[in-house]
Amino acid sequence: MLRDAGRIAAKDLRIERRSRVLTTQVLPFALIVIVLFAFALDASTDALRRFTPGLFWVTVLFAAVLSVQRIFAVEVEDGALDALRLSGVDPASIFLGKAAAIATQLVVVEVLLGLSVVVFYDAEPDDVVLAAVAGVVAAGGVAAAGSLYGALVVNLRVRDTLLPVLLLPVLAPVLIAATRAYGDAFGTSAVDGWAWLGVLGLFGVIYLLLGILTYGVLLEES
Amino acid sequence: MGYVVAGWIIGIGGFALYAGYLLRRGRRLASHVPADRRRWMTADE
Amino acid sequence: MSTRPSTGSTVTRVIGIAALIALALLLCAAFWWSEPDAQQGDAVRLFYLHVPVAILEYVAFIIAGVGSVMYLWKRSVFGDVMAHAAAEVGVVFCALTLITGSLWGRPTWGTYWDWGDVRLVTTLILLLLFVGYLALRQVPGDRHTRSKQAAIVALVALIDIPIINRSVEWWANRTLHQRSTLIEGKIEDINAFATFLGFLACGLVLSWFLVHRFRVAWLEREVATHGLERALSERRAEGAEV
Repeated sequence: MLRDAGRIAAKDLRIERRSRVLTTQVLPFALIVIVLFAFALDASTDALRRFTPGLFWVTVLFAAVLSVQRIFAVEVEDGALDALRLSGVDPASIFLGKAAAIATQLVVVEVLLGLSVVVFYDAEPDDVVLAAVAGVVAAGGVAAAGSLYGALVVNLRVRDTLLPVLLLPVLAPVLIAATRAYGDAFGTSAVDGWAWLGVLGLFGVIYLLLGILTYGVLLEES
Repeated sequence: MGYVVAGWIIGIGGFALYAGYLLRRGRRLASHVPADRRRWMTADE
Repeated sequence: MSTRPSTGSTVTRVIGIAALIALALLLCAAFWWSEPDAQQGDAVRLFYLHVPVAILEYVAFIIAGVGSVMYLWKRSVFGDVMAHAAAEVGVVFCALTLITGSLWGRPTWGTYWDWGDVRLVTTLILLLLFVGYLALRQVPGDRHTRSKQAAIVALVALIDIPIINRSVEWWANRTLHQRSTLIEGKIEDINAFATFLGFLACGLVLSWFLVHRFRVAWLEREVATHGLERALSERRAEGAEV
């Protein structure tokens, strides 16, 4: 199961590397959002520094929507998802593979965003380890939910508008927990960031289980 | 007190609007479906 | 009784009339018979509507969850139609909860909205989750696929709710919502009666909505399945007349 998942993730990332949608569209989009926040908050570096954790994670969630759309759009174009299913690959592997590919892209986005907020918002992380671990764990949770909802809407003509409506409210706990954890890591709020990491982990585990359990039903022939 | 009255008006008004909407939708659809396919109709008509 | 085709029946007419009577009594109880609260003053009069609607909204969403499980597990068409009906009615109740709650909060807390309040924020996200569910239901396409997707969305939403609730609680770490006065037994007799009446009236309204919405959804299915056949046979009949 895990080997198949690894193959699917590798395939998606290979497609990504060739098409360069991540580097030419998703990453610039994230950067644009960071710039827009600066305009919205009246060019006040103080405010930007204080709200860095929240702005960072809102941007990650927006980028995640694009990434999920992209990862599944690849499959629709030539009925590749059907082919994948008919080839006898375990649906759970497809789910995990897609989630891993999305998570990898999100980590890339987070690294770029991290550098951007250090440069543009003058935010320095006090606790780099916490920031890194929370970043990876949150990416996993977002990717698991994204992989589930991405497959759910993939064959709908309205998928691009429906995906954020379904996915973003579900990710509310991730936004809260990740923002708190980063608030601790960047020293902007006095909370126990490692405790919030637990919420992120719990969310990730629940969505991984949900995806593994429901993907078979979701992909089966109707 | 104004807020309380407004709350009641919106609450009851919301109920009434939704009830009217349901009834209208039901009437329109029911006229397209023969009576023997509307199971609840057999009880009183 | 009218013979115009509708979603009404004897049972729903009885429920409907009982609901109207109960609502009328509730209005009297809330505005004239009951006393203002020691802390909230007259604002408590909105509580007799707000609290039942808020609690019954969760009942509606739980029914939607049960229906979704029935569909995923047994392919129960009844469960599927029930889930759709309950979700829509739940959204109506949820929206009314938020509106009446905000209007209650303004005179009592001095603000329409407070992000620090767990129940407020959880209810708002619950509303957004099920608005997404209804949006998905709207999308035309293969019925079985759509029902399956909708059932998964409903269940994921319901599983998400406790996590949201917990995280908002840790996040805000304070709540304006008062502890349930019902349990503490501090309510006067007449106010307890009004509270009971509120649950009765809103419960009747909820069941009336559920039954009618269920029948509307049922008719939609019938029209979708048999509509084409009937249209064809009507066309043939027209042809024969000419």
